[in-house]
Amino acid sequence: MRNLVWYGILILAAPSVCGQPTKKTTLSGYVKDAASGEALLGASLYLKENLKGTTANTYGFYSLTVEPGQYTLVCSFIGYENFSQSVDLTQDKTLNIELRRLSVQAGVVEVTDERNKQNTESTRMGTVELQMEDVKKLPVLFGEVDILKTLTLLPGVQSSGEGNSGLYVRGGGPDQNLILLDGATVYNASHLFGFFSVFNSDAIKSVNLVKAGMPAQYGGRLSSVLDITMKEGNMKRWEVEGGLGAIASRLTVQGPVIKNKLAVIASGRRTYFDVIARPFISKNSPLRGSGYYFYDFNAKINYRISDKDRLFLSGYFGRDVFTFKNRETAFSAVNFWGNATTTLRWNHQYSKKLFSNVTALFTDYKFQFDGDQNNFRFKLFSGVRDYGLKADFNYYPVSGHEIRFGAEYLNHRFEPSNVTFASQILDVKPPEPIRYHSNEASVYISDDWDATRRLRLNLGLRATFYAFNGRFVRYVKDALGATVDTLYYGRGALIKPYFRPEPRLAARFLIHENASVKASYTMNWQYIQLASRATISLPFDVWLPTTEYVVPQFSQQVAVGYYQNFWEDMLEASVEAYYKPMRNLIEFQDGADPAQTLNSNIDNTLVQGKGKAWGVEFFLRKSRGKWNGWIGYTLAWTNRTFPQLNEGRTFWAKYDRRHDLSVVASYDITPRWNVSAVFVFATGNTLTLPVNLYFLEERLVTEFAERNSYRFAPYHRLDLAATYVLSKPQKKFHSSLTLSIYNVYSRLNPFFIYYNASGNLTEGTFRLQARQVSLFPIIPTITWNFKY
Amino acid sequence: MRHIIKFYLNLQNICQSHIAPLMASAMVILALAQSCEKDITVDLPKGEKKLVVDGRLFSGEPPRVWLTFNFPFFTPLQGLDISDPNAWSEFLALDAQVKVSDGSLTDHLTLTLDNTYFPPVYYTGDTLIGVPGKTYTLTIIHQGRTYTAMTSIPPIVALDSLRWQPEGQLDSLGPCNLYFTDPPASGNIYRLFCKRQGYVHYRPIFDPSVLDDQSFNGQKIEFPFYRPDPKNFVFFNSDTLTEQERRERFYWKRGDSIYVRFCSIDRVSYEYLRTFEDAANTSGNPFSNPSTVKSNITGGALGGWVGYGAFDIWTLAQ
Repeated sequence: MRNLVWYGILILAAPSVCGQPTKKTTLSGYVKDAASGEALLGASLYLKENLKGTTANTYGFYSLTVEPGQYTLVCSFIGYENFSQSVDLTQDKTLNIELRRLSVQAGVVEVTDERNKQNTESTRMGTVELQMEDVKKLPVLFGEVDILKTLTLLPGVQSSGEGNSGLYVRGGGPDQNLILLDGATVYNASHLFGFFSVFNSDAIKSVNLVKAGMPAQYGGRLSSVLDITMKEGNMKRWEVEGGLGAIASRLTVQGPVIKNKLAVIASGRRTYFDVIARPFISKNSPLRGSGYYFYDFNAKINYRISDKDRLFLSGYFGRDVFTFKNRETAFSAVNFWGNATTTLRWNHQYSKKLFSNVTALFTDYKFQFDGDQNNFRFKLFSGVRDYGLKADFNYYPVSGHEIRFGAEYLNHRFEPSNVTFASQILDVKPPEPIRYHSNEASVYISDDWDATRRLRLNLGLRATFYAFNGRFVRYVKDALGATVDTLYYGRGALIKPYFRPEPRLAARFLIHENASVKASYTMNWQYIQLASRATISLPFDVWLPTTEYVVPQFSQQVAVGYYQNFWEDMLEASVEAYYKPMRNLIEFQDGADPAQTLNSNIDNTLVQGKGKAWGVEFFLRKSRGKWNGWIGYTLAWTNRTFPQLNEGRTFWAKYDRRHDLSVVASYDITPRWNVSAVFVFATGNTLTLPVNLYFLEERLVTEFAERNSYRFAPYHRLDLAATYVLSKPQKKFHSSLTLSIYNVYSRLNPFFIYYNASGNLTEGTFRLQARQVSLFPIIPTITWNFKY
Repeated sequence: MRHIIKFYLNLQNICQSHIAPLMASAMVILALAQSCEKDITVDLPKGEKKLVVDGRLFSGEPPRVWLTFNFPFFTPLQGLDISDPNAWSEFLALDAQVKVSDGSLTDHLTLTLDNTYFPPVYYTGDTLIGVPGKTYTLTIIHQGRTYTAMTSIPPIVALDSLRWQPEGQLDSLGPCNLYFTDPPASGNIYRLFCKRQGYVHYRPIFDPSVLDDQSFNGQKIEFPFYRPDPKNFVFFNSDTLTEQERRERFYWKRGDSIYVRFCSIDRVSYEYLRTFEDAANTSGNPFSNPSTVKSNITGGALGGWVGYGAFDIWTLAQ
């Protein structure tokens, strides 16, 4: 605790200690894309004369406070031409900068003195930013650009191969990633069990992934933050963009309703395998009427009230829909799931040094199954609904300090596995839906501080107050699961509060202009979790809050790294090592029955344990020039220890993966031809093997070996893509064809192993055989994209 | 007036049993019939050989205890004649001392051959008969090791009635409903067995065959159940079913005599049976975490010892 006090003092004292009595002037403004008016978040700015610099925030705002004088401001951003202008800073000045995109089509050869110093200069570690334009060049499955899949190509981020929606960051579980879409949490980021992400690439501007040294403005998850920003809408001209793919089509419309004042963007996507399959299902088929599709809809309104105020209203709505009909048994069902998010944000610039953003948000994830048989209707549903309010401030007191502070409040409502039913024959009273309510409030402050010319520190502190509230009925169970007591809590009653501080520390030491060493320490608490009985993430996995029985998950992470840029910053390299101990992780007990929710609480069936993750990540990236791409390699370990699982012995986590290599390359052959390739290699996932069989009541029961003690064969795959621009560069209508080949050499990567029992004992033909199932062989797809 | 609640757990079964195939079919649609399967060889670690106890004591019947051994996963069961106990001798513990005691009376069980069961050899007695309200201790001494277990036979709960009803557009096929009133005190747990005319032994209904009254305590219950296959799949070749048999599978048919054995069990037995059925059920599911059976036998054996307070009833499907 004494340390915490220290951090607080440091942060608060920092501005006054370093503040100079002499008068200072401030240069501030916004950095935007010249063609669309979109804010360029993360653009870097510096003054040539004294090398003081800063970075544009999420809304493109920047502020620099220096001694009065004549300066040259240089602003750069990957994929854009550099901007340079001399500024007279004898008094405070506002300068809005518009950067022009580097155009390959126009044949501009990129020769700039762009200094991309983020890699070595910032205090940020384990942070990767992806621009959608780069993501779109890479080969994809079924023509659907997928940012989550692209993220798994980065070191320290894994998926479990195809058919799994989970992202596993540095040994953490899939629920330990905070996925934010314009500030609102997205609880299930995938369609169709992880084959596609919910983020429509045409509506997304950029993706920022933080896997270490989590800044204080983020919290509530142990492993990572995935901050996704939707496009703001073109402020200058109307634009239509879309694509026809093998299984889905997309359409985006954006433009200024009032030029430079009010812009809108709307984007939709829908799959059509149900439509394609329909003619092939016979009219007499008992399954006629069954099908599957998903769709997404994104929209955003961006209103510039004044130079100092902006409003953004953004929303996302997506659903996966299954319909099932069997006329013979008179059974029909509709099964759908998906997210809905809405955020209203207000940017306000109080002064040249103080910028604020206030967000009101709503997010909802639903899974619902409606069945109907013999006039008996039933509904199974689960979900989580949040609403919240956030205020974030960026304060730039003097050059060399960037202070962020803010507060956040979230109200959660969880509905894990509820069932209701109705019958036309019987007088039936369905049970009341079971809900869990909780409230989470946090405050944070952090300072990014240039302590000396070489040393930059980022000191942060976050504190969270969490409360598990009524209305709630607790069924107290004995060791055998019999109810021994029932406790009733009224609406809003405080059942269990938790108060937890989270110190965050990061430091960068510049060895020389092109090399630095960084270190960070992060402490995180997580109050909501995903409980899954399956070994993969599924849409009906339920989110659960921390209760009086389930304590919050906890992790600490220490990371150190070495960063160097080569060849005029063309090549960025880094090596990062991390160690992350975790506590209070959750799993279901062996033989838990989470569906048993009537007169029982789902958290009665959970157990908590420890985990540990450690590893080294190597990353080499080239983001400019005709050739670009990266190589990432991770050597990692992660294990779990639960007193009630695996007889208390430590076991490898499901997503423990020793080696993980990704090579991503893209090459512009001519202004109209681009080719790209992705190669991945990863150690096989862990697996629990059966050892023995025995008979009970004439049935075979399997005894298992040590949990996760076996591994699948390694996963590897090569994908290629080629894009050809059909239209001439001068034309307004721009279209291109992309040929993607997924799994070029048709590697049969293991999806799962099952044991096929055939024959029967009476005839003496019973046999068990292990079989490995692989999902995708070589899959070529052609996609046509256009923009007008 | 009490609400008649269509039994809730069964409903969840319906949901789960329908969701699983839906999800599976999605996977199939998605793989566009392109997914590839191949036989692989997996080197399995060696497990420990253990005694497996399957002990049952129904009210009004003598105890029956099957003692077997577990065996390596890929042991070729192929070619074994299940009607020949000699072929099974390496799976059977035939040299154990088995006794059951109710506290005052102790019965030393002896080996019996009965081909209507599998395995066809079990230990049974002739002095002790299961009585509701009593507690029974099972003691097994085998190759120098002693295993013990305790179970009780709870009071019998009577069924009110059975009623068959056709399903959907099917006019001669459907589930059978059973009606009963759960006693007011909570903590009653049931296991439901049934059989069709012509079969010797009752079989448990589809998993879970055990019901905990915590979701319907003290209420009047209507509970539909389907017809289990006459044998478990390892003994029953569903490929040989005719088209008609296939269509009628799992349904009771108009004209059937439906026999039901409705049993009360204690909570320890419930935990054992629930986890056993769960393990038997999920062992084929590649996505589920392996589950362990909560045995109530001490001494390192697998399996369980269960007392049943049995109520028998039958009806004609019409």
